[in-house]
Amino acid sequence: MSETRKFIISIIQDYCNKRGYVFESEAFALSFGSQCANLLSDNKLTVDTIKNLLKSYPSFCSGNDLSSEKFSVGLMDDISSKLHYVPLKPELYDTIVKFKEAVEGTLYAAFRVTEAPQEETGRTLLQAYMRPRGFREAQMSGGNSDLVYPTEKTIIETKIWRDRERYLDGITELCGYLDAQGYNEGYYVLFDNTQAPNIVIKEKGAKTYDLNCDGHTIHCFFVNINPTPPSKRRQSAKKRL
Amino acid sequence: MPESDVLSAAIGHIKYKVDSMDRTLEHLLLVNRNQIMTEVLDRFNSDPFLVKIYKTIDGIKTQKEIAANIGVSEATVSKRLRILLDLDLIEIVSSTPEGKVYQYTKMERLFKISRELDKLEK
Repeated sequence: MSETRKFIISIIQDYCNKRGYVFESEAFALSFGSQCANLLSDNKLTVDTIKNLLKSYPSFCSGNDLSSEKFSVGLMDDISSKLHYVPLKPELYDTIVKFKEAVEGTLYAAFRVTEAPQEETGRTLLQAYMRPRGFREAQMSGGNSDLVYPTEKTIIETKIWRDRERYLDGITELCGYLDAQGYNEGYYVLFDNTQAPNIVIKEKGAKTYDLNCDGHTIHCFFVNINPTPPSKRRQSAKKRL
Repeated sequence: MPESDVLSAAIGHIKYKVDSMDRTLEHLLLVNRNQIMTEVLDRFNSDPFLVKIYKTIDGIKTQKEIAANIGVSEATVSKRLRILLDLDLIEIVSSTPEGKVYQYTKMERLFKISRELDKLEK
């Protein structure tokens, strides 16, 4: 067994023991550690590849009540610092697609902490999601809802969906910020608390689309933060018809 | 000396040390038996569901099956299982899509808790 592989297995064992993830941890560390070592040697070990690998260990995850996002981010941090490893940064667009999936899957619960969903929550979640994936340089401009990523030459605007007018205002706002920074491309992430498709989604026929505004490409993402529970989906679909 | 021989020797030594620490720990637990049992039985006395759920643990039934067996909700069972885990009286033995399965820890072997609970019920 190579030294790196052994070291990764020991990092994973320590990581699990310190956090009380002891159920099946020995077998997990050996098998999972070997897979991580292979990815590391190909420079493909990232938060997302760890999350993907974890899907093959449902018993370990459910037995230890793991949050796969938290586990993956923490482990990646540990491995990076101990091995001085810098993972390859994924494409920003793909990262936001995965962020949308993560919010619609489990992270939407964060919006229920306050009485009404807050833009601050969405922005914080997005930053927290992107930072361990290599996008560390977010700056906020003057307390607004945008995140500036100079190394990506882009700005991400986050909003809670309210109505069409405010949606259009947000696009104009984002174009203004992009002009100010000299960037061509921006991202518009709208957190939608409604369960039925809103007027813009119906118009566009999609929740993810690109548009052009004043010479800027804006990638738009509607993120559902109020999913219909599976038991009520059939009734909800009937009502919409 | 090949690495595997050195490793085998080291592992053997570590195993011996761990077994030795285990025996010392058991001895310490037995020495403090009265204090430990008072605390544990106080918890059981204050919660009849805790007793029923503890006695249903068999290393085979899932949480759902325990709830069905006793005739209570899964939430009731889940809360008590958390208490029993914190008291180190049970541990997870497997986790399947049907749910988690628990078994007694060494505390049952050392303190015969089930027997004490039977005495309480009489």
